[in-house]
Amino acid sequence: MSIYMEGILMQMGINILMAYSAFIILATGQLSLGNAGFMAIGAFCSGYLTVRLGIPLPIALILSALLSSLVGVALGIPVLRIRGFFLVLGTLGFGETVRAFFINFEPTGGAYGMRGLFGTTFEMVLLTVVAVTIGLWRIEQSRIGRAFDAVAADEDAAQGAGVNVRAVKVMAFGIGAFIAGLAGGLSAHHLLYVEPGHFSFLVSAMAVLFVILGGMQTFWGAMLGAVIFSLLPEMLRFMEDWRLSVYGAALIILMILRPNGLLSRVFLRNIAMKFQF
Amino acid sequence: MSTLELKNLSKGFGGVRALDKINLSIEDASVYGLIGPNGAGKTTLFNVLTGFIKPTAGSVHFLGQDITSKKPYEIARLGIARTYQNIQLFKNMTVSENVSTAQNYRAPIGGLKTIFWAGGKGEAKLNENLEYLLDLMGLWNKRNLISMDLSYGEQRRLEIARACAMNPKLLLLDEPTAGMNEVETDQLWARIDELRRNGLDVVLVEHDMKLVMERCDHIFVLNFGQLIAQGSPSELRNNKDVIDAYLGKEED
Repeated sequence: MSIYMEGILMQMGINILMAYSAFIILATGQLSLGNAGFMAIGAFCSGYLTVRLGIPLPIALILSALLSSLVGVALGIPVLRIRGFFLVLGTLGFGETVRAFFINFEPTGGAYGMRGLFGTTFEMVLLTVVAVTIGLWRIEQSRIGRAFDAVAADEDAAQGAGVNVRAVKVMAFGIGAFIAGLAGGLSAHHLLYVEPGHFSFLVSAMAVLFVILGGMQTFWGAMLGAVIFSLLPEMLRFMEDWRLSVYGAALIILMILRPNGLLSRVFLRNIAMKFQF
Repeated sequence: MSTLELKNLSKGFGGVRALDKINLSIEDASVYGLIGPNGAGKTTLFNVLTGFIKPTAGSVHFLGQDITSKKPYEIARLGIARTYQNIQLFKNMTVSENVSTAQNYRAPIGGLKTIFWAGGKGEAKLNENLEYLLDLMGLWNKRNLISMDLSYGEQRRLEIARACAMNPKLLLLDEPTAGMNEVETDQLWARIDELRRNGLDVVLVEHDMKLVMERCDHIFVLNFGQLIAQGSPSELRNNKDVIDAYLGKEED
């Protein structure tokens, strides 16, 4: 595999993780535009652990994802009291707060960030994506997945059916933050440096976009969205300066043609039925 | 011990007294009718009992336990299940998923175990219960359909099946037969009877007076948030307050 190809695939894997982190929160009917903040926590924390403390990357990744998850839960408990637009604004504010924090936080280099990060391999990204995918697949099949669906469908009816709605939402936030933390750590050690500018609002928005385009009813949709929209800019490279315009137009056309995203559950179910006999 | 006991239960919305010092108790595996003109406070009462609305004053005791300040999901787990006036199913889920969601809290689970090693004896028991409920409500053949695609009457029955999946002691039905034809209504009553035989108390809001008089063991009459009368159907048939509330007062 060429280095160019490997680079694209690694970025794609990181995008898949970001899409997953947005997906698991969307799966409970919440929209977070602050996942870049969790990514930043994962990136800076793991960078600090490997560069300054010399801890091996895999351990640093898990520790920083746990920290990110912890922040997610701590954020979720107050923030998830609010709903709809206000929640979106709250998470947006969180993302920007984290970025501003790292601009001023000297131990991780302030606005310049840190250099000398390395060690993300293709296999490492692949393994992480596979592990997280299996985890999400099991969640989707389990009773927890059904609780997620119930909360997304109708919070009151979910309460009435004995579902602890707030616990489910906070759990989704915690899992989403964990995955975003992993993505941040892998990304930072792939790019060899990390700076606060990497984690702008646009990163959060892209993660949500992958899910909406791919389909938010199942994690397969999130994966497909991330795959297609990571590869599309590369495939459109022959158009040179026009490619981003075409990319944008493709998004609009897709939203009109398939408003529920590329993959829906009914679609998957129909495919499954076809192969049963 | 009574299943449910309300003491001086009141709820005000601004200047409106939606519930005004309600005292009532519910005892042994019977069907209770809750009637009253529009705006009498029937649905508000259901919402207070299930914790969706907190009362302004008074208390709710369920099986001897004070549940006045408990959260809706806690009350549901303790054994008060309900259906809604406007059907509130989990629309994108299948019929059986709707029911099994309500079983969640009874499932033998804990954290990662749920995700990776679901199954076992407890799960088998729940599946048996699921099969029984879907069968009772006449939905077994439709278990794999998306609940949104069911007919109106089927959706109402699915709501009842979902409520019963929590294994409640008290079932609150908000207009269960609304929009059903006579045949469907009769079938539903037969099913409610079977639930009662299993030891369930049922309280239902119903507008069809004929049905209430025929089928309920005990009736509560609300008007302007007050409990104006209660008793067996025969006792209420000639009760002046009830007639006044429904037909308007006669001028002297």
